[in-house]
Amino acid sequence: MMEFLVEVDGKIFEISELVESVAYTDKLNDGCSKLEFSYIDDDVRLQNASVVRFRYDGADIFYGYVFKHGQNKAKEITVTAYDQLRYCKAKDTIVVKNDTIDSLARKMCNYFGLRAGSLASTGYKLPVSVQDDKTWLDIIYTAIDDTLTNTGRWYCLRDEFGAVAIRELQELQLDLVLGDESLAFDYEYEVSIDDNFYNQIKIVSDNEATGKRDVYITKDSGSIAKYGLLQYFEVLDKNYNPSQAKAKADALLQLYNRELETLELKCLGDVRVRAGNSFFGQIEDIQLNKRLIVKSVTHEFVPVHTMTLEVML
Amino acid sequence: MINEIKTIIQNYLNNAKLCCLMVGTVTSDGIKVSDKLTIPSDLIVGNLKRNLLVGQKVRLLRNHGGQQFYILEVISD
Repeated sequence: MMEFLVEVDGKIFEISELVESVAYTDKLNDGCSKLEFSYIDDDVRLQNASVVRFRYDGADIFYGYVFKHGQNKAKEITVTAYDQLRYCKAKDTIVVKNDTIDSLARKMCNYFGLRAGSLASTGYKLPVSVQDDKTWLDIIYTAIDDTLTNTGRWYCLRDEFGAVAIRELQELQLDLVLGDESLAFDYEYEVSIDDNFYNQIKIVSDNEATGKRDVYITKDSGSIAKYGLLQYFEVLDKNYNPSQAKAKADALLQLYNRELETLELKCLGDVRVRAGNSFFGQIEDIQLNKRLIVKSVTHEFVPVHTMTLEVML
Repeated sequence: MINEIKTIIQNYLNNAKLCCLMVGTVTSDGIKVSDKLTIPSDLIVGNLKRNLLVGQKVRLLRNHGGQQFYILEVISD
């Protein structure tokens, strides 16, 4: 069952009997994870930076520090705690050279004195760059984006029960089905061509050799006949040669020429689900039958364990 | 509300790294512009790059995005 420990002034209290609500929120490569809870008590007075440890059904869920707490007349105390990555919101100036995602993460942990866990070695050397006055989180997320575009391998940065980890999403596949017949009790699904949908890509770039502007157009005629002409336009700032510019236009068409789907699932809880994990989604009404990556998740543990997931389609 | 918008714009501009002039000193592995930041020579461009000597003070133009630095002139040895 629930195990909820808090440390105040060097003493450890077990408050699982007192808590009235517990919610755990985690987002994929978007800041630290967060535990919000409330309890009623006179004796246990949490302070900021008190350590909070939460386990559920024998699984490690959260280990972090209190960053906010308050109370009302009814002696209900509400608390927000974050994991170690909260400290990485600090800004710094560094030069990225001969670095990989894992070496950057190691530097970050050393600098802030954070405990490091499993840092997957990515093998991809990041391009030389100056990261001036950026948050450490943004520096690492930029490195993750660069690695993804250049190698096709996708990593996430997260805190796993008090240890900073870099994981490849490929290894975070869960043996879990969510959908009509399994755990889900509600969902919301939307398909849109309102945002980020384009079936014609127009790219212009200044050609230094000829002193003229080159124009590159790629389109999908079938899609234009169906949805009408939706054009994307971009002026390239760097010097691309014609084949690179053409390739970029093709890549953009592939990226944008599809309806944007969003899906939110409400399910009974499974302690293994964190942002970055993937599961198998099955919902007959929307012909969904494939593996999905969790973009963000909120677990609620009281009175019963449920979770709300936002996924990538 | 107004203050939030100001903060957002401030942060955005700071993050976008607009063009600006900088002064730095040539060192063996790049150009030092502040105690924290030495720009690696891979990101430095311009004809003057070939003739730089360690210890020279130079004026740099930072390109939008903050990943390219053009040497405008050598100020002093």
